[in-house]
Amino acid sequence: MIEICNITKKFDDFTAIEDLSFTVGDSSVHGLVGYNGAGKTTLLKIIAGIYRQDNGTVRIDGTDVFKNPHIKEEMFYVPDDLYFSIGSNMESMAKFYKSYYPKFCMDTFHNLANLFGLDTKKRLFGFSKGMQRQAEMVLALASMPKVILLDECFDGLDPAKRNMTRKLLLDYMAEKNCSVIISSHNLHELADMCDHIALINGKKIAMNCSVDDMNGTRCKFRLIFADDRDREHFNAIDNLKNFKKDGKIISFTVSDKVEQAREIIHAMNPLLVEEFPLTLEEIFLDEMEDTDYDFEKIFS
Amino acid sequence: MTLKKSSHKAWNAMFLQSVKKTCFFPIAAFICLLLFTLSHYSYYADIRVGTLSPIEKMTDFGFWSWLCQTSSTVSQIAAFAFIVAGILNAMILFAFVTSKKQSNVIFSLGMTRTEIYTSRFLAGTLPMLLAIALAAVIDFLIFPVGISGVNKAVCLYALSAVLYFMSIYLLSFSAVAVIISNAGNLIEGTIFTVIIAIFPYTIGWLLFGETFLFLFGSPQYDYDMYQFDLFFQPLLKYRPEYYDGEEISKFVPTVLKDGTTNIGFGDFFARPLIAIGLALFALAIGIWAFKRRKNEISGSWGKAKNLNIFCGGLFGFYCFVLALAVVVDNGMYHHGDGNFATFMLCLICFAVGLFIFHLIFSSKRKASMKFCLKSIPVYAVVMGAITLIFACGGFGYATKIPEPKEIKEVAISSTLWEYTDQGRNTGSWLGLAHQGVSYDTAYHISPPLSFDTDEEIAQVVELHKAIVDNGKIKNNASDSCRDTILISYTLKDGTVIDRLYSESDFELAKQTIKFNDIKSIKNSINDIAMYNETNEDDAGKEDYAVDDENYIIDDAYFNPYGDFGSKLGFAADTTNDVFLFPKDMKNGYCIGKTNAELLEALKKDIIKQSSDRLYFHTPEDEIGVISFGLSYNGLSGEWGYYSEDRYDADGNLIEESYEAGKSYQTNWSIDSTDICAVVLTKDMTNTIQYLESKDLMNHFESKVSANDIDSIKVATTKELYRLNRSSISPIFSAAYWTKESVAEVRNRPDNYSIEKDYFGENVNNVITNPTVIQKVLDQSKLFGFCDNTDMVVEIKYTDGSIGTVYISGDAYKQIMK
Repeated sequence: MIEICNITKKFDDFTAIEDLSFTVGDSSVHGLVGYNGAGKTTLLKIIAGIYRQDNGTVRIDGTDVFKNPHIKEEMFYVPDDLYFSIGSNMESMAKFYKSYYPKFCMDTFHNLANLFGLDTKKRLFGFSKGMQRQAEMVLALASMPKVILLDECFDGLDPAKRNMTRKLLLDYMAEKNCSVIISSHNLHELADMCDHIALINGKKIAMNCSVDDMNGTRCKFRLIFADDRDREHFNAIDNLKNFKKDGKIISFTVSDKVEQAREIIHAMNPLLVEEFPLTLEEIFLDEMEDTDYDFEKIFS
Repeated sequence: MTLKKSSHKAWNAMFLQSVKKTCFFPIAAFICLLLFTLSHYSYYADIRVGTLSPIEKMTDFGFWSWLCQTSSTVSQIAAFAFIVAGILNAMILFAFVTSKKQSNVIFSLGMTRTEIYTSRFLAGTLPMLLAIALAAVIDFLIFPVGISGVNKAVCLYALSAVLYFMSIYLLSFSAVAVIISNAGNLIEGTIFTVIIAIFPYTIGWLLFGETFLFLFGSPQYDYDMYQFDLFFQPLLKYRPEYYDGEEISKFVPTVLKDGTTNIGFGDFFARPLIAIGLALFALAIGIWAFKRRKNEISGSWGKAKNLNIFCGGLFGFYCFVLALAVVVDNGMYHHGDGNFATFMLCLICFAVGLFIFHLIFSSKRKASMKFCLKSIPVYAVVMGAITLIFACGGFGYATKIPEPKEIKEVAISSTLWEYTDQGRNTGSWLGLAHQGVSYDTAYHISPPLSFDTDEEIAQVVELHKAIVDNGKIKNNASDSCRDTILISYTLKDGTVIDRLYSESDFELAKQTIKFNDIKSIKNSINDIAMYNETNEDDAGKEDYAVDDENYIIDDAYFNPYGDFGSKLGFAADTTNDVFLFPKDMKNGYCIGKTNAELLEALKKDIIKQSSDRLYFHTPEDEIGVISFGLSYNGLSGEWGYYSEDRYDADGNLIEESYEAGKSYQTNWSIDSTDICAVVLTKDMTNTIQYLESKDLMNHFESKVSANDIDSIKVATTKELYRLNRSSISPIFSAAYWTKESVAEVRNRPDNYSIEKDYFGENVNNVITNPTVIQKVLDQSKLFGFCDNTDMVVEIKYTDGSIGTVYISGDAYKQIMK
């Protein structure tokens, strides 16, 4: 289990993340989402012990990672920008990691490499970006970690390899009872494989819940009324966001108090009521309150 | 597998991977050292049968002795190579921290930062140390064991040689490791390495500059201090005993004495041990800082905050020292003069340096500039405190004079005692030879006079007290004059305290020249009855043969110069003839070869002559000049004159030899106090008696009258040279040049600037009245003490020749009334 407690990280006078806390349980895939520069990579690097937090602790199975870095022998961090030493191939990198990860399994390594169709003796600098990422995934899984930290790990993978990687990760997690934290902008991917999502916004966790809870607590409504209705008519609905009116059609999202919203809407006798679950992308935009822009104004 | 076991495995893995990465350096070092040994094997074999002791063989020929002698080129190259190897190796092993990608991998491994640092540090150092040790063992087996023999001295020497190379590598590696591991990127790290590496040199310059400016009297300096000799040489040169009388060697006694060779701790082990100590300190700092390193600075520019502050401060400090060095080097200020202005100038340079550094090495320039502004007062206080400590003598007791009872021996030397040498080398030829104009600082003053009797030690101490009581002598003071005095005390406990005073005034100079009266000096004149072989290099102790009063005069010259003060010393090149000159020095009479009777008479006279008589006699006391061979001809670079006539290829006579019993107007310049000449005064009764007995005194009668003189020019030395008095010696000696000599000197290339025509350029006071000229000549002297009030006289003869004499200011005023 990974416990992230009250983590604050400052870069000089800029606060990247502030008082951030959440927990990742065993056999759990935790998605980390947020806009660019929200602090996802910073958080992953703090968990990996690369950065030192200014405040708070990161514990793995109750052990402080920064104070006891040996615990990282059971943790593998796959960064966004991969590094392979000059002239190295998968074999040499496997030997490298084998020295630092006691549970590293060469058989698993070769099996996985075969599965991905990677030549372990070919220089990694000759690999494409996607192949390098596959190679890193192979190395990560062969290290048999209890914690896997993945930063934009699906970048550059073709759909087939992406699917395979996702499946492998989920199988590995189920088999080894491990915890995975994935940071990604590919929200569809995350929605498919994560059981929990943490959304970082404004240096803090804006949302942290299971995917099931997320679906139950957020809803998008599309309504048509006989008469003309404005935003003011819906003030009674809490947590209403993204109100839009297109002729007679009114749409908005509601979080948390969906049942209350449903009751209020029915009381207003709409001609048509449609309810949709929010996709992760919609939730993301919802949380970020992505503002629309006036094209004419910007490019005039 | 437990975490502890697996962490050992991880450490070992990182160590081995690092060794593999940089194994080139130790392998290359081992091969080079081995080749060095093997290439000298045949040379070693040659000395197998030599008569030298094992340690002498060792120090002269073996165990990388050439490499270890810091002055040799091979040694400098080897030291440089080891330093470069250390720098490159550290850069390779610690460069990972300057790359974001590599940091991600290395720091996410299950190792503590200390483990990462130590594994890389040891991987960079142990193989190299092993390579050096292995090469040393092989050399040791081949040379000392196989050829020269082994004893304790050999073993210690070998150990010191091995430590020497190990230490310089270790120091450069550890210093660069600590810098790179805390820098943002490699370029930054390299620049910071350079900045930190030159720190010891600037400390040397600071010591020199501040001592020069703020201390009255300074430890004797050696220019080696500023030469390339590893990182730490200047620190070694800072020897506290020069400052506070505490001698390091007292606490670290000589390790070994083997026959004629002392292997002192200071000479052989201090340097490597200082380097190893510094390296260990760097390791400790490196681990401490690495644990606190913020990895987010990896790959960035100007974000290594602590390193930036440290190197920024150093850079400012260098600008401070550079300004100080420029001030001192250009002689803009001297002791006690312009101290505050100099300090402020240096401080401004410090601030400018600091701003420039932070402009370059800063990711946030505005914030950085604000920081600079805030930190400047702090730096100013620090530099002010250091300067104040210097100014107050806190870094050494400039005014410290040991108690006479503590002193075993004291040596004192003064430029006044070697004025002839200085004058010949640096003085003006035209008009004012031997006035002792000199721009150089006489660090190597000879001859030193050594005293060990209580009475004489007390006299030196008194002189030293007078110097100290005088306080700082400003170089622009009217009574300042050129005299560098070095006093070197050897205390009964072995401590050596050197004090150098580079400026003097007339009062001190008068006290200094009184040392001529010291009993042991007078006694030493007896010892001058020694002759050096003409070839000085071949002259051993046995060559200075003294057989009672019988001088050995064949092929030798009389050279007491190294034994006592110059005027007391006279030299007689016995291959040359002796000349007698009247006071005008125009026409010399050759009396033949140097002879023992004349020398003995002169010796007796010099012994009885007091310094008062020597330097403060009256014009009437002077009779003429006895020259033991004509002086150095600076034009042709040849000594003396030709004892045989010289002809050109066509058989025309170009140079007539001198012959006893004839009078000559010499073609060469002579002067009254040349190393081979003595001014004869009336109190020199023994010499006069000898000359009278030979009926030679009539040759001192001048045949020159005012009618033979075209004009004279009169000026004080200050008017003449347009220099500070502190650049001019207070001892005057006259000179004469024939028309030909004058022409030759004036036709010299411009680069002989010190021999320019000072009278022609600076003096307009021309006297042509024969009566006045005669009066001036009557009151003039050839040699003596010449202060600010005295006047130098240039005599232009109608035949084109030139003479210079001097006259007391009072006498001149009297005449001009």
